[in-house]
Amino acid sequence: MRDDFNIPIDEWVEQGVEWVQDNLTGVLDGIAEGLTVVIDGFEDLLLAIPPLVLAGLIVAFAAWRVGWRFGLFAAFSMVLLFGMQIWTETVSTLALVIGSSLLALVIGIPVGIAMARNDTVETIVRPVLDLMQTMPPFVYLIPAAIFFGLGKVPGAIATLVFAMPPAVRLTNLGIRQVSRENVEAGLAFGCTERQLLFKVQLPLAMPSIMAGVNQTIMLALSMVVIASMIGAGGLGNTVLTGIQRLDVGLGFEGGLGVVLLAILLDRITQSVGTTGRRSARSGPTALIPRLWNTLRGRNN
Amino acid sequence: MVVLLTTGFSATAVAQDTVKIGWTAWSDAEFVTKLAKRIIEERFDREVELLQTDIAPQYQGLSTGSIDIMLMSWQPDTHADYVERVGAKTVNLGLLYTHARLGWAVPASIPASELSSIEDLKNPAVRDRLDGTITGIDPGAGLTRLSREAIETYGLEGYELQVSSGAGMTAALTRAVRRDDWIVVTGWSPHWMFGAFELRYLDDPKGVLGSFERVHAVARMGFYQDDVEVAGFFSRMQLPIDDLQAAMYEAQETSYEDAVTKYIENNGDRIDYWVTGEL
Repeated sequence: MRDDFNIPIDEWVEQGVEWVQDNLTGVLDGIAEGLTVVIDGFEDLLLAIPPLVLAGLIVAFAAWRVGWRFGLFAAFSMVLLFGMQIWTETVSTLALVIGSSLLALVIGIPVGIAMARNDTVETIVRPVLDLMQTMPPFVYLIPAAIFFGLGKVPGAIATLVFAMPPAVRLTNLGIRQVSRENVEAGLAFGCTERQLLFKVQLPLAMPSIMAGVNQTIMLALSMVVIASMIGAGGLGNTVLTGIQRLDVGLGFEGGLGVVLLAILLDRITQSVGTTGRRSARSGPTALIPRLWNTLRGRNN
Repeated sequence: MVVLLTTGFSATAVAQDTVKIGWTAWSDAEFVTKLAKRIIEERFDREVELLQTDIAPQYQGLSTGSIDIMLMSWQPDTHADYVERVGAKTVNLGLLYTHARLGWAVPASIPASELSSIEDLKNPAVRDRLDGTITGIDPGAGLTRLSREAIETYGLEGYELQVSSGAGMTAALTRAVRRDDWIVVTGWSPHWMFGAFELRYLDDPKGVLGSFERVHAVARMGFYQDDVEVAGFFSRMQLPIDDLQAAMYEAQETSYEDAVTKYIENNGDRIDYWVTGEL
């Protein structure tokens, strides 16, 4: 059976990879150089700020956006990161997460908009998203390394591929869920297509889009750890080193760094999404006010 | 507590009839492990279960008894970290093959007149061609630790060890060979990359990367007592390195199953000795 019936997908993929290597070297190098500038620049910038100043900025931002209690938590996290001596690794991971998330959004949100406005695009893009999201992330690592070498750039690309789908999906969903009445009202007042998109659909879809942004950042954070297997560095390196040396303590420190970073990024991006409307914050604490609002018929 | 007890009991109960071998997808380990599996199944009429994980969990598994044996303990240098940590809870069943080695390797297309020894890396022209990068493997690997020592001992200023993983290293090597770029990788043999590409080791006059390594079979505590027959087989199992390299090449060309079959056909006497202990 195995000998007679063989669909050689493995060979096709390998031939495809070889073809890209042989014919697109210039393009690949161009992409790599562009990304190196963005990601290294971002990391250099964050590392150039004295650690205490950067930590202070993060704490202040957390307190301003989310609240003073969360500011305390942020301060506590900073003390832990310094104490575990993984500050540089954390900043490096942060830079890679922000860099690859931004790229994912720059590509993903327009794709999401196109999907929402055109059913054909949706039919084509949806299975691609399924593939991107469910393919085990390890699979992306080797082609990324073969195309772009080792280091932060292939790490960022693998991360970008893995983290983009929620931004696309939730942008699409958000726009499609804008009610017909709102769209018709916009059209009745003489909106052009462009005005309809930017003044009616996107603002109303914003909570959904921001949820997508939040998910993208969270996925990027988990992928960045895996990407250290192709040299992306940062906290992932600490985790890998801990695992490989059977050094449970070191692995836990790296993992704890990731957790702290995840909580900070999660709460801060959520707060940006709701622009001051505290009641719309998600999570268990937001449930009661939201229920209350719903009961009173004030659906935000 | 209840869970601990049950798993403890079931582990010993299963060990009576099923031999659990841990392995990692290194070409040499895969061949030796599958060879052992076939021999145990055919000659001892026993079930063999193979558990594939990363290398560190293998040692962990031995120390907790969740696997019976693994056939790829590189000693004395490469796996020194692991042996130090769990060695006291494991039993060494002896050599599988010797003359395995570690070293920094380069594609043969780089002229030996320009780069043949680690000392040559100090030459600024060579450093520029290499972008000041030594391509390494996993951050926690023994080879990584030794390579860092080498950078320091040879005073290789302006060099960085790019750590990633074994797969990352071979991907970078594949890329460099296809593009005719210069690259130095931290490697070991036996490894399939020496069959796939023309490579050579750089001389290591100061001997920092260690001399030849020996690969051992290591079992959990109590395996010998539980399973004298099979443990005896492992303690006698030993392959000449040339045989192993040939079999690895064969496996690359066909499959590990075919390579195992061929090895068993061609080495009946040796395998009889492994199984029975009679010369």
